[in-house]
Amino acid sequence: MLRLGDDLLFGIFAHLSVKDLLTCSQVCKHFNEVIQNSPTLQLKIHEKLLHRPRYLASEVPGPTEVISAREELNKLKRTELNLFRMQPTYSTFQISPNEQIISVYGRSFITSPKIKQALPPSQSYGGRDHAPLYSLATIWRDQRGGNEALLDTEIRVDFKPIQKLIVADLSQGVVIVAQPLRPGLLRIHVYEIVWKATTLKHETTRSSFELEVGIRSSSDIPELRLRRERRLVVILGDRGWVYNWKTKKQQHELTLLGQVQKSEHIAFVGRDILACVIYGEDEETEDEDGSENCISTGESLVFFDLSPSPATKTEPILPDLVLRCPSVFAESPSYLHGHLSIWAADYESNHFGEISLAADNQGRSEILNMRILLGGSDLIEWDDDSWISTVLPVHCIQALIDNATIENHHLSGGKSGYMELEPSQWMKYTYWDIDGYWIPSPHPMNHGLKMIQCSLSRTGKYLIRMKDYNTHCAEVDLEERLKRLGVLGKKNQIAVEEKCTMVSEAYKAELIPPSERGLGYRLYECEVGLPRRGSRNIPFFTGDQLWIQHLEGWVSILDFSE
Amino acid sequence: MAEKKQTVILQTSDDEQFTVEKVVAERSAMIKSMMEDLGDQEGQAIPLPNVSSSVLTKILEYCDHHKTEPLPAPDANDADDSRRKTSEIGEWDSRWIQVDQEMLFEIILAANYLDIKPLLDVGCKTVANMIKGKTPEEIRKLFNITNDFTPEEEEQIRKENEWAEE
Repeated sequence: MLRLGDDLLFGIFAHLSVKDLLTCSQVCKHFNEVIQNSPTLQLKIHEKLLHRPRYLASEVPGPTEVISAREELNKLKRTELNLFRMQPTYSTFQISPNEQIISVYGRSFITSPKIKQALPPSQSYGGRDHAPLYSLATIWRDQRGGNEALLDTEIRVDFKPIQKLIVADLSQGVVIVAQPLRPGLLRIHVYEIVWKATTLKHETTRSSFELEVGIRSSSDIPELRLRRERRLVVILGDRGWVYNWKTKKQQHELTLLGQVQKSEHIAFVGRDILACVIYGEDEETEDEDGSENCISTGESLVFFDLSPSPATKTEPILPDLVLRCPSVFAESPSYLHGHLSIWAADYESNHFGEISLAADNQGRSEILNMRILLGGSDLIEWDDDSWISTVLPVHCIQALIDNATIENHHLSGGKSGYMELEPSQWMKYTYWDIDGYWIPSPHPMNHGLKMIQCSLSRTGKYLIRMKDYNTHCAEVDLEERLKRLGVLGKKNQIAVEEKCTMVSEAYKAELIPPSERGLGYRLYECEVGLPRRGSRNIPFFTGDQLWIQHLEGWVSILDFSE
Repeated sequence: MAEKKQTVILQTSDDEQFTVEKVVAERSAMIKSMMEDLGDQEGQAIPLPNVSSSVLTKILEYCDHHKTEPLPAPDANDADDSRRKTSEIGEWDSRWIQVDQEMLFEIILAANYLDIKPLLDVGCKTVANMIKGKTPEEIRKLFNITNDFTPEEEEQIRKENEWAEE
């Protein structure tokens, strides 16, 4: 049956009811992929979901009706976004099924297959024998276009399906396409784009070099990031390398600056801070019956400062701050005006956590807040009461700080304090950030004093939350939070209270420095998008925009820029 | 002379030649366009390297039965929609397609290759009917498919589907 190829399988599946389709998706991976990848079949499944009452029934008055994707998008444009006063500029457009939107480091691109010539009939069935070239086009949103985004092509770079576009940083005039050559070796094609004033055109030069990376298969392509002053960061699974990259007359020279190994998560915090969770050393012990036990000594959250400065330019990059923490704290770090927040999610046990750190560029740091949500077995089945987060481990913070030693910017030793706490010691807390399924990506977007997060709500729509830190509304909250912070600094309780008053006064006048402002915020939220199963089209932030791909090729851009 | 024009020679993958009425062969959009390309070249066999003689015999039977019906529009995209809406297979067709699984898939592949849309449809519907109402395990058994999900993945998909089925 599998030899029929995707197109014919689709032909068969198209005749099935939603129930039978869902059954088929359980048969094997290949069937599942065909069903997941087909917008038509997905729409069929979701049309059924649209019949069901929405979760946020109060926000969508009247009986729920079946509406088309287009109507749905217009409707949410009119009502939902305004309802929550988030008011991003909203625009939609449609791409063809062959085209794909990809996001690479702050820019969005549409790739579209170009089939150079008609293929002879003998090659035309099954849909697998086409050899399209992919074309890359930058998308500019035309401000004059109002609600409809106009697309303009600026630069085109052709690449083949086997090659993968991984970096496009037009501010540095570089597009990188990676192509796995054989296990362990990657060919990097570099397109350098230069604006020629004489011809009034962009000119592209192409060169390539080979990079030895421990890739195992052709799909095992590492994540590449290009940072300022041409620092190339290569992230492959649990390892990461930072290179200085020099190019002279299309000859490329890479110098290894530093590397991370055995790290669970590597992510960028802001533009120049690389955060990663490093596994502790595993200690193997043998029981009397001969069975091996593996004890992990915990994990560390390590930050690497990649910002270029003359003094450190050629020296190996050393961790600026090491925070030992339990494994749940692992994901989505983001950096907001001196406040580092780390969201973490452990999907297997559904634990969620957030740590806020204040750090300044002198290397001083302080833990401001830490919250943990201990999840149940299945988030979707939770009702509202149990959904409310259960835990604010103030005692954990206390323990963490008490046991911690801050020396040479290294904060460590807190783990034991955290781990030994009993659940009865945890305080109940009535507020939490995450609702529904947490989308593993993207990281929260920071825009000035706004932090925008996107998660998948229980209706299957995208839930967008915006925390606006630049607001006057949060004095009460701020005070409360500062008092809570008093736990941290009980050595000088009075001083903290004074600070609290002072800060809220200053806050009104917006005189306080940003590093002390991040505590109060106003929260907006809204749901957008059509119900969507799976997480295939993960929304992504590019610059100030959130891009959401709906079914039927509809793409929405929420522009948060001011 | 006029009579000769009404036939066409088809050559299968196992090098067997079939002399077929033009009106029958034209059910295949692919053969039709090949004939147009070849023009009047007499006695020129049209090679069908992807179709065996046994499958072609079977397919010609179908084409012969339907030769009087109007051809579907050559480039009808909306044909996709109308195909999906009607799930009934004609009485003659359903008797004709009672073949073993191997042959059924061969017919589908050949119908796709030869571009005979109504036949492809009959084939796909037949397979869809075989799937209807079965459990994943029954489907695997029916088509001899290995379950390559890990138990966790399977559980995950099952849960997602429960959610959609509510």
